[in-house]
Amino acid sequence: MEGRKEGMRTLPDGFNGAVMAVESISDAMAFLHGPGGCRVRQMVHSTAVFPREDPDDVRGYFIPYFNGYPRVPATYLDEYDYINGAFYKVVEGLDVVNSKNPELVVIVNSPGAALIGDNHEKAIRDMGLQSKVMYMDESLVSMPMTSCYGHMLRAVLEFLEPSRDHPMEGTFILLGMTVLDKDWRAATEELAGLLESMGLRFICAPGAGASTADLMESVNAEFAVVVSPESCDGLTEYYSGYGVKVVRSPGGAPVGFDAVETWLRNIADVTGNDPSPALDYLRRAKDRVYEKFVGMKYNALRIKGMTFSAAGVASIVRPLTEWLYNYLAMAPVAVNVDPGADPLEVEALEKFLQSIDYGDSIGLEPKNGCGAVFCEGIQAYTMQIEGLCKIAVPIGHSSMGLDDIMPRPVYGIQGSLYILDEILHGVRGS
Amino acid sequence: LSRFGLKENCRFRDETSTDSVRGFCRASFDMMINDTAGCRELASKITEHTGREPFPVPVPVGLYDYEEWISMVGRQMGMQEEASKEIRYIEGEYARFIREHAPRFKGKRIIIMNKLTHNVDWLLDILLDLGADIVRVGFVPSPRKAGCTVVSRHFDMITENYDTDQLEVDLDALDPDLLISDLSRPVRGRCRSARFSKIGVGALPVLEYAEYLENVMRLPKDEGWKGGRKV
Repeated sequence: MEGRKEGMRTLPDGFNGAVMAVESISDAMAFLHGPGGCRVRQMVHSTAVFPREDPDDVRGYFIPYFNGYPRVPATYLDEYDYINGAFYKVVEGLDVVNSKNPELVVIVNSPGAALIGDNHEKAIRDMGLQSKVMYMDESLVSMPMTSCYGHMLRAVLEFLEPSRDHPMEGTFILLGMTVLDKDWRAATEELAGLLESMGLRFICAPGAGASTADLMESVNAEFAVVVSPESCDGLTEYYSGYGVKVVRSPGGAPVGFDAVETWLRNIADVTGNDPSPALDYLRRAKDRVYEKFVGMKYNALRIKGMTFSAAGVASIVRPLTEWLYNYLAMAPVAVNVDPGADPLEVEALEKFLQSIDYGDSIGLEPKNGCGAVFCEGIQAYTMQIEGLCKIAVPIGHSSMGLDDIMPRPVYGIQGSLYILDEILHGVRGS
Repeated sequence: LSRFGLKENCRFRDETSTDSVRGFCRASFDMMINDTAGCRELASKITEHTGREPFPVPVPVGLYDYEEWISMVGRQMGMQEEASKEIRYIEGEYARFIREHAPRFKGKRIIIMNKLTHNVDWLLDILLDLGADIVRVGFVPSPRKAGCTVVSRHFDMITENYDTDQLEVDLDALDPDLLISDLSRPVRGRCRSARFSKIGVGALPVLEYAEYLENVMRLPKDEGWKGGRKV
């Protein structure tokens, strides 16, 4: 197959990840010190995946620094500011941002603004906002999105200085979920619900809709259950330091029925809770799929032996690859992981592919001409439109799923059904 | 065919327009898409009507039929050199493929179970070239195709009147690595199974199909979803 050059995926970077980590906190606001061009992607992305204002609320945002858009206000640096500094804009802007009463404001430098070196600490002090405004002075541009997401959340927690003054037995938080995950809210609800069916009590998911109060409370949890290790870089250590027991599945993120089961059983082993109710949900979903597959015999036959490419976060790609191979007998001809991959996941993935004689597939970007492509949505759909693959299944961070009304996350039982749906629809009439 | 100055007049009956059917008899050649009873019957009707004999070799599938066909087209059009060039190119591609993929086929025991009406020489050719051990080629008779005869240059390898009972025996006795069949046959985890698919015509689609078989031989014998149960 000719056409698109392989290996051109569009991925968010650490700068985007850091801003979105702040925006994931329901009552916090990222304040961007940078030009308007750096703001656009962040403000649109934040609104798209985690809208908080109603349509009529926008009227209150036609003011400087917001300019008609409620999320990620910015200082709109211009050429004058780059030469003379823009300290005055941070001071003035903080006053405007604070007028919207966020519980927390995090000043984030755009890559260019970092070069100016404006003194944010002084601006915050001058305004008397030390208790609710912090700043991230590091340049995270071009670094892995996932690790910077976790890094920013940890910085926020360190700023908030929560206290483990009332540890709560049998409670848990979910770590490693992000608002960039496709249908993150549905995934969080389902995963939390499954664990609650086992008798555990959910506190919050830092990074996926938790408020500042939730974050303060989170250190009192008994368990921190990891969903995707890449997005809680530094966070697991942070919670461990407070005495929260971190639970990480040997099967990677709960993607595909098999990894969901491993994830649940591992949590049951660590917590001592009975996994039966959650496993029962899972079994019923698997049985429904069995019935469908038996009913549509020929489509199931078409899937067997189909080639696929998978690229994305390692802890997602590993269980997905294993599951597609084992559950559907699909052939992994190209498998790659995003920057910032968890080394344990990469090792497990390589080991698996070598064990099934597909070692040559490691490190290959989505391949032109393969049956199904699992990666971020832009690349997957572009390949499908260009006829370079039959089936496109968005699983990555550009996959916002904005036009899915029925939840179609990547994680959990719903995620497994979403993936199967996409594959089955793709082989219709083939 | 365009390199020989030939143009498709009518593709009867695949994406055919009524206009092209109207101009059906204007063509210089009638090429059979395959050497099946149905296709031969259709060709004889055209001969009756137009007096034109069909092109002696049907549209080829697989390297060897392709070589024969392209040579004949070259001769018919007085363009032998063009045909030889094409054959050299295809042979090079084929040889490279065999070199790269033979290691995963070498010595693999394979059963082919197929309808009598389908010519599978292209499959037998490439599997033999890849070093596979074809332990059975079973042709299943069809009650609707009574009187059909086997057409194959590998006639000595073919078991006629093959059925699922014999397959059951073979699965135990011959211990195959792979069953290639046109229908889903229950193998109960005893070997891997692949399906025939529409592979198209020419020499290169056969290589894609061989890649599919190579993948199937590396995949689990049974898909995990089969471990489910009825709701």
